[in-house]
Amino acid sequence: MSTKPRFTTDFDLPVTALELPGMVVSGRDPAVRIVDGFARGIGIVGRFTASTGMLAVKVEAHGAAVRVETLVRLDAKAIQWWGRKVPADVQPRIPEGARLLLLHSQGALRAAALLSRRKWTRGPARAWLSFDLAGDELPDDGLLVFNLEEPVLDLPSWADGFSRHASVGIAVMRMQITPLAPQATAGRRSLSVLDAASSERSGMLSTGDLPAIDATGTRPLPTGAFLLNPPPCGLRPQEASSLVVQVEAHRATRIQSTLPYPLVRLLEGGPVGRGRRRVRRLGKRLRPLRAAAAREVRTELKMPKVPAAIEKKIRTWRSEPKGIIARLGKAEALSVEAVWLDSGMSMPVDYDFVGGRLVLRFAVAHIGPILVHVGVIADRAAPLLGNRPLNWQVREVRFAEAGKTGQPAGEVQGSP
Amino acid sequence: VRLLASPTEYGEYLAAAETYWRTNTLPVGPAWIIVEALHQDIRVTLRNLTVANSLRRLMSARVLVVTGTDNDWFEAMWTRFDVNHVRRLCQAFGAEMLDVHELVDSRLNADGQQPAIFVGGVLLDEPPAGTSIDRAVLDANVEATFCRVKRMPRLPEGFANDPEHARVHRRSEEFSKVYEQLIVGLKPIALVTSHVDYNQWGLAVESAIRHGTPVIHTQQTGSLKAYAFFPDKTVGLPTLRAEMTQQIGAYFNHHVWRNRKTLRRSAELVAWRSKANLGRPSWWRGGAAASAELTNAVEREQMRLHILHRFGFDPAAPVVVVFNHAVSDALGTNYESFAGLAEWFEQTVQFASLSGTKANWLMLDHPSQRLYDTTGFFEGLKAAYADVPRMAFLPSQKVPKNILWSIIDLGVTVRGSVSNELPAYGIPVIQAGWSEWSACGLSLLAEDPDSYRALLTASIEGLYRGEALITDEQIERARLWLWFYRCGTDVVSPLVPTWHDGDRGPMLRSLRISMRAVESDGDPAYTAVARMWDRKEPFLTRFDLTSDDAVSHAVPRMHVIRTG
Repeated sequence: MSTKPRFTTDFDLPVTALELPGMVVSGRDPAVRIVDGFARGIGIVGRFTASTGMLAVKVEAHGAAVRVETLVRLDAKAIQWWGRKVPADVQPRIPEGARLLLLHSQGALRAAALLSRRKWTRGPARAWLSFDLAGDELPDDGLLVFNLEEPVLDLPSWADGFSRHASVGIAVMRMQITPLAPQATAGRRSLSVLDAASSERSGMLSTGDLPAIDATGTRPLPTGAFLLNPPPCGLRPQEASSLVVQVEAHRATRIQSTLPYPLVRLLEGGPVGRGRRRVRRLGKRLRPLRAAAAREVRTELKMPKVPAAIEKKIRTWRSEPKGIIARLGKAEALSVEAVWLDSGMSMPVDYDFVGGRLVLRFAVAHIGPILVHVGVIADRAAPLLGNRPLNWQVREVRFAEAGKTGQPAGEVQGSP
Repeated sequence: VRLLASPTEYGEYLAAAETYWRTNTLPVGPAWIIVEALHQDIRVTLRNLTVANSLRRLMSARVLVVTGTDNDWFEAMWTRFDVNHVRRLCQAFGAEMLDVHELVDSRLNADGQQPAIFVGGVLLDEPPAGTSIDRAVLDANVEATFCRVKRMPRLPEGFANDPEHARVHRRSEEFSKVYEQLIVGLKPIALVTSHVDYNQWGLAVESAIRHGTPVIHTQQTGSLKAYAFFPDKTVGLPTLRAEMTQQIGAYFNHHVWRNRKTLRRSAELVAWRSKANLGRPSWWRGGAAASAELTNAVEREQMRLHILHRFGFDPAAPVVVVFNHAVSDALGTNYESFAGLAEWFEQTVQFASLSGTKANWLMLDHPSQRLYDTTGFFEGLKAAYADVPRMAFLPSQKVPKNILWSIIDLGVTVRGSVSNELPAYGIPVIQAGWSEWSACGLSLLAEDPDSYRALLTASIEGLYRGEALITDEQIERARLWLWFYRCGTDVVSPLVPTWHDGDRGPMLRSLRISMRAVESDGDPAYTAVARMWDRKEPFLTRFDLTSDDAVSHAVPRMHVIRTG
């Protein structure tokens, strides 16, 4: 239909392509053929400079199906770039908001990611954007096109705090492309249950920040939203017909709702960023809260003993709100919303409560990137929650066969 | 002239130039050459003066430099125009200077007795009729000048009662009288000018052509490029640019096309370099966004899908890209299918909106539009057609070359240089007007509004049918044009640093060193000017393009040359 241009001249040089398996770690890699709205980096692939940015990589796939995995990062520089490069008429200006990124490749929406920096640690937030391409989607004389953009659709009001021009400043740290072995597409049943952290590392789940390298288990949902991406071929059992996501919530304790984040992390036993000094400094500022905290923890807040004692208490807290989801559910105070990011249509979500957890079920066939939000309907939830917010977290992601519905977590964990 | 070098550097340059030109031109004779120094860029004036002094190696002549400026041009374009710098430059080149703007001012302000013109100590007679210019030509010139200096796409409503318009008209008429007086009085052997449009340049050109004076039109790109119009070679077209279009086309079709096999490798080289934006004309933008890195149709198709999605375009329909010109740029100085650039663009947008879903339309604004339009012409149309689907309005800087090339199926322009660039890479372009290359067979030409619309319709339908709108010969011609424009007609001489050397100290320094360190005879500038002048050729050539031997000596000898 269209014009067939003739770009070639007698002087064209052979093009360097990325051999597979291969990794692009620098914007100077000659396999990165074309960039648009993207500044090439030296030690990283580069950063996006526009609300729609694109890079195109020459890949020598020889007709093999491939898995493309890209690590993106929202860091302080990304926020700085947003302030500098986003036109002044873009309102509201929320450079530090969560970034919802859509990745199109080879003409289709392939994956999405949600990035949101921790309020207190101010460390970078990372996410893997991962997807599979069939052999015929990556011809050797073509390009692997990686087009990152923000959703054009109107998101519900709970996404008001997300940044517009989401891709501006986002760093592409590295991009790895691996050929998929034929048996990979056949599925590995052993991976039919993933804890949330592993799901996030596989690119299937995006909660805002990739967990630290050794973390396992649950993933907090700072924005109340998470993203589901099409499961990678290697992880999806062929007979799986639905994807079950278990979400749990606990009521923030008085300490959690008032303490600064590093101390909460400390309470929860996680890493605290810049060492103990900062915690100690914060600790001093928190003297007025000690009394309240002491009542909660039922122990003296003498610094050397605090972490262990509090951690112990945390374990009891974890079990404390077990019933809250069910109680909220009964009061019809829960709201679960999902949006198909390719069409912008909202999607009905099948959910129930099992063992104090919210179990969301999605048909595998329907999973394009889906943005899911869990929350409460404020006026109905108020009597149950008081003035304490709910802390949401994803516990696990599990494939289920047709007909089988959500089972209690205990049973599932035994199955592989 | 605007001086961006240090006064010391300028002084040293002038000292070197004065000695150089005194010893490298013939003793002054009775004949005159008129040269303009009305542009503020020193590179422009240096090119003019170098051509004039090259002529003074062929004939004993004196050079009269006309210069000066007024508030209109200051407001529209100039930042620092200083006549005193021109005065010193004239001295170095052995030329006399006349501030025509000052003269026009004093004549407009004079009560009764008109100030006389003395050139070389001689009083010039005033022609009895004042000026013999055709009123319609003068009016057209005033319209172009008024639009340009006021930066508006067309004359405003009720311009006849606008005192500003009347003032520009009076001023232009006075310009015409002064130029007439100069041309009739001095009977110059040539007029050397960097521009052929607007009152301060265009009316001099009009006077010269009326009185049979050859006009050499230097080009502001590359090294030394110039077109020459010899009135006895006229093909009878109304404007100098239209004449040149036909003469260049005839020359290209005869001499360059004949040697296409010999020049093939060279044309390919220029086409390859041009993809990386090397050897670009001076007004093309540089930077990474101006490089074309797509290598084949598969890559283009893959990029295309994403870009169409970005613009909200229909992937099943072809993409027509309309390149809006700088709306007040030299109106009416070459043949145009519509009454003005604004008229053309409005009509095209209207046509696009009516053609419904048949094509995707991308309207691109000229990158320098803010220097040519203060009325918001493009933005106004964008707002008026905001609700038309599959139509996008963007400034062209927002669309890098890779993005543009991945979607464009058909380009539309009046005289933009995309109409020689895109065909070189197999993308067809419709021109609603003439440009220097439009008679060289690269683009699709529309003569009038009806045939323009018919051509657009037929082209879009052709794209749906999968027809190639461009032939292999057109692609070959376009690549040859790139070579012809950037190499064959670009004279490399140490006397004319290439445009990208800039207009600051380092350029003057390299010029000074050339004049002091290099002996002069056989300098390419001299031989090229002599060849053009003696043969009355329409442009300067780097070597004799009419000689097959000269052509084959100029290119690498790696081809078996077969002619015919």
